[in-house]
Amino acid sequence: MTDEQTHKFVQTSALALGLPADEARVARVAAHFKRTEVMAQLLDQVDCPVDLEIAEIYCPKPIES
Amino acid sequence: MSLHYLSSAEITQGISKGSFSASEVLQSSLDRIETTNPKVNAFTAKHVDRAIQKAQSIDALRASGASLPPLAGVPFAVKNLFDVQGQVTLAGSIVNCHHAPAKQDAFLIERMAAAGAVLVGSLNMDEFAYGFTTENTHYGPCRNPHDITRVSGGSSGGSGTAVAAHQVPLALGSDTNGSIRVPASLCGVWGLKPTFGRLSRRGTFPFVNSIDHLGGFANSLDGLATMYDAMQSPDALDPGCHVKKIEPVLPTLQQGTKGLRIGVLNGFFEDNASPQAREVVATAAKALGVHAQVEWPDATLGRIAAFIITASEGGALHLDNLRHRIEEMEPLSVDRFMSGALQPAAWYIKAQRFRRMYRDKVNALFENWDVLLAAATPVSAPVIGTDWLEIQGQTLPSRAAMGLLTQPISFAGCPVVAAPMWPSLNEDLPLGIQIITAPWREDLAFRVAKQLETLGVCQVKRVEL
Repeated sequence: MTDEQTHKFVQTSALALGLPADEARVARVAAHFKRTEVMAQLLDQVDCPVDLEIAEIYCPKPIES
Repeated sequence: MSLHYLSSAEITQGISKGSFSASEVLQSSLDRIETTNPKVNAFTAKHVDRAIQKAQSIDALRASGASLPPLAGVPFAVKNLFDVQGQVTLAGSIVNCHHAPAKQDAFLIERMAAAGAVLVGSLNMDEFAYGFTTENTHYGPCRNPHDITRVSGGSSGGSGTAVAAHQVPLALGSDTNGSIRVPASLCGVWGLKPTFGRLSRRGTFPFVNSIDHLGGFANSLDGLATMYDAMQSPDALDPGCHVKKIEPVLPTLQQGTKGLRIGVLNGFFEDNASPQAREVVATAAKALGVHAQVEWPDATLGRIAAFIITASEGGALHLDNLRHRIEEMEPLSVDRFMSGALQPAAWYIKAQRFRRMYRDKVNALFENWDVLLAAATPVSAPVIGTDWLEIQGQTLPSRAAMGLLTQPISFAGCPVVAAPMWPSLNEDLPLGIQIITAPWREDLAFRVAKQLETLGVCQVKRVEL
């Protein structure tokens, strides 16, 4: 997204969730969101097989009995 | 004798021999808090009455001739996200002030009490644990005992500071992305983030349920091990507590490192480390005779996924606060909470799915290695109010960058002992290392830590305040 699109996304999503969306806050939140978006794009490039489910309650390794 | 400098083992031995009483130890701790807390701002509450009662019960137990429990009379304090019966659980916030007082102690406080430890107070932290510096706007910044113009790290900053300032020999904290290891590193004390799912989290205010861990800080490695063993227990009432049995580390602490396959993490962990951070890792590796360099799989992606999950779950948890009490939230983190609440579901789900692949890669790595070493923080403690850091030619936001080296490890759920070290380039400020093992192998991390302590490489230093 462009900076303007990010700003609009934050503004609209905040409204959808009932969050305060004054201009100064939207600008600050958009700056954080933009940094996360760049990171999310990197993660999006990872190829996950379709049968890879999210963890129910994450367990780092089965415990050996 | 200055009782507040003693380790937990020295305290229990002294009480057992009759050299001093638990009540005297408690008074020494309370006096130390009284004189030093205005300088370091670690404590947000003292629980004097219950502490006096507990210390008196330990003295009565000794007088009866009964054997004493392993932490008899040892003062400790907790990050203020732990429930303490009769107290409001603040979690570093003011928005929680209207909550009802806790009806009972957190599970780990109960375990510590059963081992004879004496709870003396609750400790400062980043609001809702979202931070690495404990620059808490509501309760004031927690200050590093080694230089009170500098941060103590976070989010368990009060816990690291209280131990480093000799206010208590033991403290409890939480670690989602580095919140025990970062303050342990910056304050120069021992820290433990156990395996995800090892210790019950029941009775603590959550931050990110799918990544939160609880653990502790100590002024001695033996104290850390004793505390950890005392806190271990299955807990059927915490669905995130996976263990079925207790696996104590004290009996194996002295077994040495012979035969252990130990390596040093390179790549991401070198690229994001200052010269001081690389120096302490090299010093520890040299002392252990370690030369092997090891690459941690997908460290950058692991950190990203942890970052996204943290923001999403944290934002969702505090949606109601964001809607109705946003002006009362911490200015340093409220916009990050809101940004997290707005993240698309697809980002969160992808990060969680990636975690499964990541776990498998990390576990595969530990087929070939027993213990891995890395710095705990990229730099030593920055001055309070620092916004940006220069690390290896990169300009990074200071408050987020402090967790760069811890985040990929906790995301995999691996246990870590954070060991206190002192880089020669700046001997007055500590910078710790992470001793990392496969899930459920805390014992190996403790053995390596013991070896480093025995060799004089890792130590807690006295602070005059």
